[in-house]
Amino acid sequence: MFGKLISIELYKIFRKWRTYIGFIAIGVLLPIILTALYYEGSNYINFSMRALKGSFLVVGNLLNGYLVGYLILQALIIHIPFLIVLVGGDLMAGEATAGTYRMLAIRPVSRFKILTAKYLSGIMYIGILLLFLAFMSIGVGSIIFGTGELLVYSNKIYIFPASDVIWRFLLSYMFAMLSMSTVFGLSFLFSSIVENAIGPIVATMALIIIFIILSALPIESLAWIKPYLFTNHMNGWMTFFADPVDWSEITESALVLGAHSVGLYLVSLILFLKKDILS
Amino acid sequence: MFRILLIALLFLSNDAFTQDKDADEIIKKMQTVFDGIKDYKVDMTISVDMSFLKVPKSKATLYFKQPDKVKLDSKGFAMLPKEGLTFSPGKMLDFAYSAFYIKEEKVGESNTHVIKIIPDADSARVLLTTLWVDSKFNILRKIKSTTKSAGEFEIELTYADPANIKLPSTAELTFTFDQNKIPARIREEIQKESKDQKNQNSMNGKVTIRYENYSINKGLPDDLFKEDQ
Amino acid sequence: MEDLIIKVEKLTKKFKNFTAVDDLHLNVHRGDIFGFLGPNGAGKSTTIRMLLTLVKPTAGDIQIFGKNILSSRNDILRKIGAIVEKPDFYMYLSAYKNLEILGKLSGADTSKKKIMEQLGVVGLDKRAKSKVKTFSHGMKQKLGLAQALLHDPELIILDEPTTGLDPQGMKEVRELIRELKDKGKTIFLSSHILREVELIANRMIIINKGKTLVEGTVDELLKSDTLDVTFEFADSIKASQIINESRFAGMIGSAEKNEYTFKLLKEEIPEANRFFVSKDIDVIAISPRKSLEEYFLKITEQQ
Repeated sequence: MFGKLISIELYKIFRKWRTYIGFIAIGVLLPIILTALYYEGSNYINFSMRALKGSFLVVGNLLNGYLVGYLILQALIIHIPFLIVLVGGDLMAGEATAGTYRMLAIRPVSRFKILTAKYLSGIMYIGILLLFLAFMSIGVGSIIFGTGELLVYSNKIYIFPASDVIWRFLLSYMFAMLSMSTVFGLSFLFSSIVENAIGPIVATMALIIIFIILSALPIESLAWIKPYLFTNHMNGWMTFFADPVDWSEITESALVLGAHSVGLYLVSLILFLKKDILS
Repeated sequence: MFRILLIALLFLSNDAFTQDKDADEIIKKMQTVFDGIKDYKVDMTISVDMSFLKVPKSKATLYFKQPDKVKLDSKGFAMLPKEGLTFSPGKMLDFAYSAFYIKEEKVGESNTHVIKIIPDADSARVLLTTLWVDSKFNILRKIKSTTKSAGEFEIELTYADPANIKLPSTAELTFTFDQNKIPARIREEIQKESKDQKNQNSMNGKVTIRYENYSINKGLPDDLFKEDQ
Repeated sequence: MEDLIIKVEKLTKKFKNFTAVDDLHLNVHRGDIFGFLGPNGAGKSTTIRMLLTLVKPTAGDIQIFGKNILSSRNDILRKIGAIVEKPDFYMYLSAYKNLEILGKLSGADTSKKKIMEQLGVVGLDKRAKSKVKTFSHGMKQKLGLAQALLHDPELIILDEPTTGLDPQGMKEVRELIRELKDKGKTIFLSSHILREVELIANRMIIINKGKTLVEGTVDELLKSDTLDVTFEFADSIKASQIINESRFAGMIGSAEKNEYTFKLLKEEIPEANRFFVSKDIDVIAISPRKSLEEYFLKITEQQ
């Protein structure tokens, strides 16, 4: 029964136009980025390696699918939330607007199951969107540029052997999944409160922007607040592209995000269980 | 002025303490040994240890042909210090210089002649170079150099079979890295780190190279070196 | 007990300061077509929402099929088909897909044959593939009926099912409801139009402002009630003379051209007709009309 519910929810998600905005955005943007990297990518590498080229003879192709995948993840992961809230904000509120809430809630299926199926379907949507992003960046990138060592220019210059890269991407994407689930959870909560999808979408976006600004402000008196902003933990995936990986930091970030995600789900659930459906 | 004084001092010491050892002669012998190698090809395993750089152990093949043709070939990424790349004394001392014999010294198990090299012109990239030349095989055991651009570096070489193969089996290169050449973002990070860890040597670097499968004087074709340096 | 399908006791729903349903009692028996009447805003919709667990009662008890609605929710809902207010669907999906989804959730047989058959019953089989957003209100109403019936429920709760339908559509819905009754189903029919209930219901309740006004069989409740009966005469001059001299003069509600409206009991209509015919007045038409509003007023006055 639950599987049936999820398949129904997924069906509904993927029959909505808004669901494809994220895929279209990635599908349009990535070929442009890939083309740009094809022509300009070596400049980026030269820039990163400038410090070394004076004293070292450097060989090998660092402009490869892994670098492309890393650069794209770094550039886009901040923006993926805005695509996800389009779907998350609509999941519950959309049914209220359409009046289909009451069509659903008079079925012999508990509200717990209805909400949970919607939540999990939303999470699956995120997974599919991220898989698409991974395929378009790492996959297509590797086809065009081949694979090889990954150059990461962060607090140090890292060059990871090709064999040492895949697990980092895997864990990064899993971490990104967790970050995005938190964003999704927030829009889902808002969505379960109100009866119009615009509100939750705008509210979640606004909140994320505010959090990101608060995280970035170099003001001492605001520093105490940073650990409490979940957005501050969303960059945790980058930690996987360091050596050694700071597991304690990642674990902390993952726990914060996971707790947010579960917490937001539970609050949504409680509200929905208590809700009088009047739409 | 100081330089002249220094040179004078070294000449004095040369005359005073050496036992008829001629620095130029030793360098010449070493060059002759190296000139016996018309070309070579060798597989390398390179480990780089630098605070701001994490690089995997890489494998590469080095091709050399007299007088100065070099090619580095690798399936993947590899980086190799330009200093002392080919062990060619001619290449290392490609400027007008004065050589002074200093003393004998043991490097590992081997007896060496210690020779100081001072460039004659201000324009040379090197300020001072010290060579430790194996007294038995006339091969370079160690070199220490202060350069204008790259700070100090030191290369220590070991030989597996110096009687037959006059090329090293390992090279250990330590150097200081000019802080100003490191991107600002990384520099800050390192300074932060070194403050934390009270590690003042963080700008030093070390490269260890293992050489295997020498193939010497097999006649490498010129066009092998064509595409790149 | 088994024959009592819905049993509502002391049902109350308060929204903040507003009491939508106030101490409501009602009983629906197996095989009833139960009319649930009241003007707009009387609390009908809130009551239906409580029956279907969309809204939680503030107080009171609802038993359906002898079980408590809150503790046996899923068991009960499996055997109920319903339309709550206007039927709303996933506009971006086809009629077929909507039925399939809603049917699956109700545990219905959602084979293609069964769904097309159900669409056929409400006359939408030719539009099965059309998206619901292209449907008129009447078509959505019909699709609403289809989704309520797909899982072959025992109890069918219909909230204003004829709204938006043309007279032909209304007639079809009434026939459908009668057919369902013949199949042994119980129908709970809410409406604000007394006529609609009177035509098909056997029992009814009238509520206003959340409270029960009257409850009983339709015959009982409407028997002793006066109707506005309009007679249309061929010759109004002659008719007015005769009427003014008759006992019906005191019963005139209004007179306009050759239409006279009398306040009559149901059984007085043939008597009046006979009287006019006997006086050689040609009666062209007789139309009884009863407005719920007036009926409410009357009942309210009585209380």
